Amino acid sequence: MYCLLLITALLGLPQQSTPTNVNRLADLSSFVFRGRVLKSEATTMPQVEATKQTAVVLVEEVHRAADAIRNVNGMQITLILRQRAAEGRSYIFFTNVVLYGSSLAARESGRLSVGRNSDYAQRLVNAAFDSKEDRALQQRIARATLVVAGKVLRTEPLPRDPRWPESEHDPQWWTAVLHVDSFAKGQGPTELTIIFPSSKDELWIDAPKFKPDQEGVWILQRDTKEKVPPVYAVRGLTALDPRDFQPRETWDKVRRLAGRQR
Amino acid sequence: MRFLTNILTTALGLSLILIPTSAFAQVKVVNMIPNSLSAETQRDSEPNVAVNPANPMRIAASAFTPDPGSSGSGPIFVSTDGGNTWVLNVVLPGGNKTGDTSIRFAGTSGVLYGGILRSDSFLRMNILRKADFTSLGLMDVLLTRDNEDQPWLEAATAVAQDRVFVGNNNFGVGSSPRRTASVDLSQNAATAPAPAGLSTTAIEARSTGTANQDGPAIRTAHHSSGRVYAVFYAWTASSGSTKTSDIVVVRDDNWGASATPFAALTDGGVAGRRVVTGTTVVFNQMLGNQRTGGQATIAVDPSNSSTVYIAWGDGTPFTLHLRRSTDQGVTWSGDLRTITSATNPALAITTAGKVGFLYQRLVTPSGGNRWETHLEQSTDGFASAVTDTILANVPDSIGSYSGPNPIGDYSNLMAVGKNFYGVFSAFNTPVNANFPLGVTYQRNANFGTNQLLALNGTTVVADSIDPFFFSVSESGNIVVPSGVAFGTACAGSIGHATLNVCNTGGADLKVTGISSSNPAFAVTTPSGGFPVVIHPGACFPFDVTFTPSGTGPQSGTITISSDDAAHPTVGVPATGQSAAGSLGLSPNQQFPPTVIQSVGPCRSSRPFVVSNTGTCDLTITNIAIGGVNAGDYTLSGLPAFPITLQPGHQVGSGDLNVLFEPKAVARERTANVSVTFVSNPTSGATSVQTRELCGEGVLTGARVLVTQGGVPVPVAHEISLRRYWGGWFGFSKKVEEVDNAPLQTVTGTPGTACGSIQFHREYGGVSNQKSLTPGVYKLKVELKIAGKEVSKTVRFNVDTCGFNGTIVVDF
Repeated sequence: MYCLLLITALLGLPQQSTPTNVNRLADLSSFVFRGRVLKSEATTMPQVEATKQTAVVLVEEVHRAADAIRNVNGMQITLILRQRAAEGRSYIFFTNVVLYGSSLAARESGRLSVGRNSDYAQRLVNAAFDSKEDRALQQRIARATLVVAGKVLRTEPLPRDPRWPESEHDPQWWTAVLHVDSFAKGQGPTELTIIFPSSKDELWIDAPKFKPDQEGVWILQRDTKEKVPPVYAVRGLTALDPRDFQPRETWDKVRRLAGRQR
Repeated sequence: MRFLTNILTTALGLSLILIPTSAFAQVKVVNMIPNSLSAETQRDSEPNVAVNPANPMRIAASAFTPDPGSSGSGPIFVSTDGGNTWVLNVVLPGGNKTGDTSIRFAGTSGVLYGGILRSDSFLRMNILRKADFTSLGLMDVLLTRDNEDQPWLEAATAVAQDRVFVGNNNFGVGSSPRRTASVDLSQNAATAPAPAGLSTTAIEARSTGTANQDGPAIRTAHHSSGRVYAVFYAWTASSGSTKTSDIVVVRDDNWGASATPFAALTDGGVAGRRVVTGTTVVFNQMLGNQRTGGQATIAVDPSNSSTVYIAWGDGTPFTLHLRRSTDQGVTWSGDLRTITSATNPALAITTAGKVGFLYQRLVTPSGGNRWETHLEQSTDGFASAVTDTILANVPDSIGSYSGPNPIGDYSNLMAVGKNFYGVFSAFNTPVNANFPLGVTYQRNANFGTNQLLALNGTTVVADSIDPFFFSVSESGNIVVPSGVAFGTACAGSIGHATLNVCNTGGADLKVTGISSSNPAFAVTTPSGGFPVVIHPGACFPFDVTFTPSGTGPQSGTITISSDDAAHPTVGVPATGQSAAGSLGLSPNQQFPPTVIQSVGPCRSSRPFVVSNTGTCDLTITNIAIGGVNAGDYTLSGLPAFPITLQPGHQVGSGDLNVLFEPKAVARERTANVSVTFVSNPTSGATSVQTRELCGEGVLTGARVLVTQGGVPVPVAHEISLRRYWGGWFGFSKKVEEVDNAPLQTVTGTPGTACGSIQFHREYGGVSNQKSLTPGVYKLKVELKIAGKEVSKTVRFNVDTCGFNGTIVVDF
């Protein structure tokens, strides 16, 4: 800890830029950037009223953003501040975008002072978001009955239960038979049958879909306890969340995260 | 559009405010993805649009557009300029995007309501409310219910209460066979806490047989009288994906609040009129890449609640049918329109009775499947050929998304006033030919290279599916000048200017009235009175008057009211400069010492300037002498009153003088000149300005001041005065000799025109009233300088009215 404080001091970063603080801010944010406050009590969007809590900020360097807004360097945006920020000063802002128009309006979760070492700030942010993703993955693992690595042997439609209502949102359940070569959580046979929604309806489009010979890591729950209402419930193992299927390369990390729970 | 703009600008010589529209073409198509999301590649399908009937400039829309920031809540599209530009506002709870979403404004409250399926929990319905859809923050959840499908919300304001209707397929009802077609409704939803009076009414009264449910697409339509219709697929049997279905219309004549709701129409003694029986629907049947099977729509004529239209799809290939009832849903026409290989029907009827029929049709030219988005319009109940407009013609599958359901399960059409507003989804490749009536993109797009571009303007972005807003202006489109400027007008007069109100729309524009925020500006009511009808492409020159009161710059706003639904009122700034004449006067006047009348008819004269320094005429009503010694003064050269002075002119053409004829010997004989003029030409009110007069009454004589180096000396050693006999070179006789004459200073009274004087000796003045007989005088002054006596002699003349007040002897 003392070593870390020494390093941050040498790099010109304030002590508040500890990984713990950055992790906390990352948990609250999806859009992180270094920005310079151009004008206080101003906005770039007519939909946001200028108040003491708003400022026009120049995005100098995006550290973390969704794909659609990753390339907004140089854009002047509206920031809804948690506390006043000095004009002319740059900060690393942790935010969530709330309005997308010709410009953006984002609500601040918190900020860090800008040090001299931009790469170090980027590494801090990356580490925080990696940690955020790991914790989300760990939560999925914690909910899981089985966590396995393997390969899809075959897939086929699950016979339709006549009690299921007809809806365009029908999950269109299919089964996939897996050959399991490793278990990170739980134990079972080397051939497992899992159930997945084949529908590309908007409500299912993000759920993992499987095809023969597909390899990876499955984080499996039993009996559709999540997301699926009783009228469409199925008995069996499912992986419905986008995080419930991971590339094979993540196996070591998944094992490590699964191991922490023991 | 630009061509028309230039014509108008040139013809009128005016700078025009062009309220954005697609002139003459009437149709506006806008890609709704904001510029900041130029890199967006999502499947933004199944759109819905809500236009605020109280202000059609305020529009909300939804689509399967996820929150780009993955905040855990979903966005809606927001426009406050009639759909020209859009922003995404993250307001929908339940995941980064929602499932089925429909939104509506009530009639006058401005409250936005929504019915959604949350994406974080399968088939969980929320009914939502937000007082100001442009503000930040999530919509309020009024109701949550599981096992629901396709909530479709409609809303109205009646008797100051927001009525909300949400058609939905409620799988959670009862036992088999389930009657799932339902409407959740509230009679007063605007402000009440959740659930805001929402309750569920099942509108299916018959058995659903082996189908065990109704089909999705339960739609309502309401009339301001309180008559509410609903249409739904009443499934009666099921065999795999093939459903046997009736198309049923129900009705309620009291906002759905009748004792037995939605039972006003019966068929065989059972609530609900079966428009079609035993039709076949293949559920999730594909049309190109788009699934079909549950597409229905309904609209009621806002001018006649008995006239109602429905459209639905059935059969293979999926085929749309359009029918009408003119007797409140009791009997129905045959197919007015039959559109094969089409889906996503949407109906709306304008206040002019025009019916809009929106649908998306799959066509298969040699290049592969394409979706044509059609808007058919009919003014005669589809008796004659319709006006068919193709809004978009795009590929069925291209770009970043090649899976099923590219356009979604529905589109949406609304009517507000005489205009249509709608939304549909389509591939967004920037190809002009794909949008026959033109299109506006907010996101970066190059129509030359047919490429979408990221925010940096260079990185190519993959094609995807975007929502497209469109409007069809059936009213005129008002165009007004950027301002009416009068320049300078004289107070009391009336300035005139022309306000050209033009119509660039495709139909007549009805100007219903014009008002002004400043009574100085007014529009002359045309001889025919209001409303004034302006035909397409024409202008009407309204006469605007400027009747200034007071002076100085004046401004106001002229507000024009018309039936342009997008701009029901527009303001034109009016400016003018109100001017008046301005009085210019000589300053206070001080006269030289003047010999009193008892000695002789002596006088002093001073020109007195009364002028107009303003830019408008000035009226002088009086010029008079007043004050303590008014009798000592008179005016000469004074014309008769009233005097009208043009700008720059003077009273009496500059010959006005004040004459001073003192009656007594005195240092200060004071009076004043008062000038009365019209200061407010509008009211005729007058003002008075005054100048002070001061003169000294003396006898014939003189006044002597002794100075050294220009500075008055304290004491003159000796001053002697002799009068010549026989002229300047004759003998002289001593008049007076004074030793050690001190310097005397007389200070003028403050607030008068009287000045101060200094002297060592005077003759004929207040301090020595011994006058000098007219003649020639020699004055000798002696002074001691550095212990030595020095002297100087001066000569001066005194005539009959003479008083030489400025004899200075300097050493």
